[in-house]
Amino acid sequence: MKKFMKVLSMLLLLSILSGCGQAEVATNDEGETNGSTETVSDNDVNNEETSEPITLRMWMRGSSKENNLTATMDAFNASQDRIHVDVEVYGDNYAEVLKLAFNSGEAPDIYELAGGINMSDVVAAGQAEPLGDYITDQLREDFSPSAFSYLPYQVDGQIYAIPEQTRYMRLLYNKDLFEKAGLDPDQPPKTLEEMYAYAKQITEAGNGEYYGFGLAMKSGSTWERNIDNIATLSGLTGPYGFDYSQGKFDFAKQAPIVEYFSKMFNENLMIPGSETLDIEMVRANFSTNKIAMYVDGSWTVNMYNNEQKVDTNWESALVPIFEGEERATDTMTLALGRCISSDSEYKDEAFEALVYRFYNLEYVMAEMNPDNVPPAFSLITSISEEINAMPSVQKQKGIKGFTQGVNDMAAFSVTPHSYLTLEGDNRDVVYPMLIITGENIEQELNKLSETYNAALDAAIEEGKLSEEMINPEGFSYYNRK
Amino acid sequence: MKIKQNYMGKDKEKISAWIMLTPLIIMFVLFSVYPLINAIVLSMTTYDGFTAPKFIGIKNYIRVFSDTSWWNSVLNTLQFIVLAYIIQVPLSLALAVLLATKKKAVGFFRMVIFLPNITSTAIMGIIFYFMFASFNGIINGILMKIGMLSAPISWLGQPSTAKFVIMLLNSWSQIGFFMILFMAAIQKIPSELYESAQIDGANRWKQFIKITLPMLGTMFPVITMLNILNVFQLFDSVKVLTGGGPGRSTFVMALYIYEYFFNSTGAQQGYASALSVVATLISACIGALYFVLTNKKFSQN
Repeated sequence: MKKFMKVLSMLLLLSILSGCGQAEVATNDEGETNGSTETVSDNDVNNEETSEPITLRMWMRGSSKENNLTATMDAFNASQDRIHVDVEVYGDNYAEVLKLAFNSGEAPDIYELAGGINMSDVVAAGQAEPLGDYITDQLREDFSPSAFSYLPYQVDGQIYAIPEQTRYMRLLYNKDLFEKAGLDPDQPPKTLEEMYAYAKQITEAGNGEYYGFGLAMKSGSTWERNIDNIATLSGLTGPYGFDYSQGKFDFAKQAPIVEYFSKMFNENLMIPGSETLDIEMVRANFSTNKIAMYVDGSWTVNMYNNEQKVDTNWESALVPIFEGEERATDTMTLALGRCISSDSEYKDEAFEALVYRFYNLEYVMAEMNPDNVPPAFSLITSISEEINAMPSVQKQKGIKGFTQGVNDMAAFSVTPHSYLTLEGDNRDVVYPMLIITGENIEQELNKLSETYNAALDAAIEEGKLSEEMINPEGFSYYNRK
Repeated sequence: MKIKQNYMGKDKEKISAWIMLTPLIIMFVLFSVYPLINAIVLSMTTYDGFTAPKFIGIKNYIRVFSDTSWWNSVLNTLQFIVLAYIIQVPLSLALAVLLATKKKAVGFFRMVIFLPNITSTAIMGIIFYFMFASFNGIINGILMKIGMLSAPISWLGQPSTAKFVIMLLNSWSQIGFFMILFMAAIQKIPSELYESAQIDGANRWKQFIKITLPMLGTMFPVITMLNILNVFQLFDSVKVLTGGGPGRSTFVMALYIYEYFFNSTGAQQGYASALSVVATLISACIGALYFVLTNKKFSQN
């Protein structure tokens, strides 16, 4: 028996050792050692012998495979025969899949920062290639300067990602429902007081068939779209209750806006069950004439007109603020930062593919929908100007608000909430309860500020954020650049 | 001599048993022991899923104890355990008794009741979501048509009704499984007992109370344990129906851990690991408590 146990333990030990051995081989493959060099030479041989193109993997979040990124990269693949880009779309699972790929050394050559993937984390993990040397003078000239000065895409002064688009919010409203309720469809609400009155009038006219307002309380992003947006336009706070004029979080400043939406909710001016709706469901109800007003982003023009092809008679307008308040600089975000993996064997080729994408995306989209050319939100200013001047863009449904005030917008160069490790409930789970109950709003908001400011102090201590980043000199909500 | 031979034979038997067990042991170590140890190690670090974990001692555990939202989800889980037991065990027993006969069409009903158990919870969750939607939901529609409601109820928007719907979905999918277990136990009861009871003039109810219930005795602890463990793992139906909302009011342990591990910004993976270690301890404690209580009862009997 003892002998047998010895044999067994030897066997077990052996299997564990061989397991470790395999793991070691795998790590070799991940790192830039023998394993990977071998693959390079293999590919090189292939290239010389059969002139097979280099294959690059490009990952994105996206929502469907049939999107403009795929189409643009198809056009890129057709335009030359040296490089072939395979696009993979992962939807809501994007962040998880990407993290797994990083951890197992399977990172794609090109990826985007989306779904909560943070630049500083990716760089700390050694997964992103600094792009400073790749950015040519031509690119610097063509791109809006904000593309290369955007701090969230930089670590220690190095650029690691290039944003592709600007995004911003507008109030979307249903012209038919306005008319049915006896409102002028060409006069969207200019103040929050007006929006409340209109929502009431529409809900009463709808009598259970349609409602004044839509708030997607199940989507965390809804608070950024609605409450943060109004707070910034009113000169109160930036995203997530961060007050740049104090350099700390101050959610209590958003109290009047939270109370406003709570009142709308409790007076049933929102579609019933708003507390269980996500943004997709709000969109579905908006496009089927059940919701008269809601706040959504610049990409919806293309989404409603070209992807979903809805018949809804809709238009967009500036997001309203409270009466008598001065309107501060509107917020835009720079989105879809594209990165190149530091493990990629073909970094030059990957950058070449990216540059093609930056210069051709808007044209590919226009070609895809010649009758309904979507407005361009490119960071290459000349492209946006050229596309947006086209008559086929101007006649788009919903274009009005999205072309208003475009030159007077600015991105926050740092959004501190994205650097934090919170110890306590985050804003996205606290706000729904405040809206539903309408109780202890001030108290709960102060508690939130405490949680966020404690995490902020920790992030500063860890060196993730600096005083200059969170408390910019001479900051004013009214003339941000 | 004879004795020794016997001994040798037993030794051989043992060897073959060990050999047969080895694959299972390896699997067990790989997929249960290793992840468990790894989770314990991670629970003492701060880790963001990208960079190397940093050791911080028991700080995460101290944080667990002051995290009121976590204890709220523990409380929700315990609530669900009690609710699930009260609803599912009697109902599945009743169904088992009703369907443990050899009449025609019984097979059809068994299948219908068991079917939800092998259907994906995610799909059932989506169907339940639409059924209980406040706007244009089927349930509200029916209740309003027959005059039981004047205005639609926000089923999933209020903590109490949302919990009710979650429990309904969970019971619907689990009852079939428990019913099968009960049926297996009932079929093991010798039919002579019922026959003699019938001769003595006992009716169906008396037979149930005096024969079926006592003879099922050993099945109850098994089903109770399965039921408790099942609710400890409650995750998918909550995720699909309410996502833990509104606010954090319907969060359960597994969903809370998931949200911290996969859906939060910052370095929360270490904390999520600490939560899962605490969750394991809570489940183990309740399991142990149950065993202690029932063992005593059975030995007394």
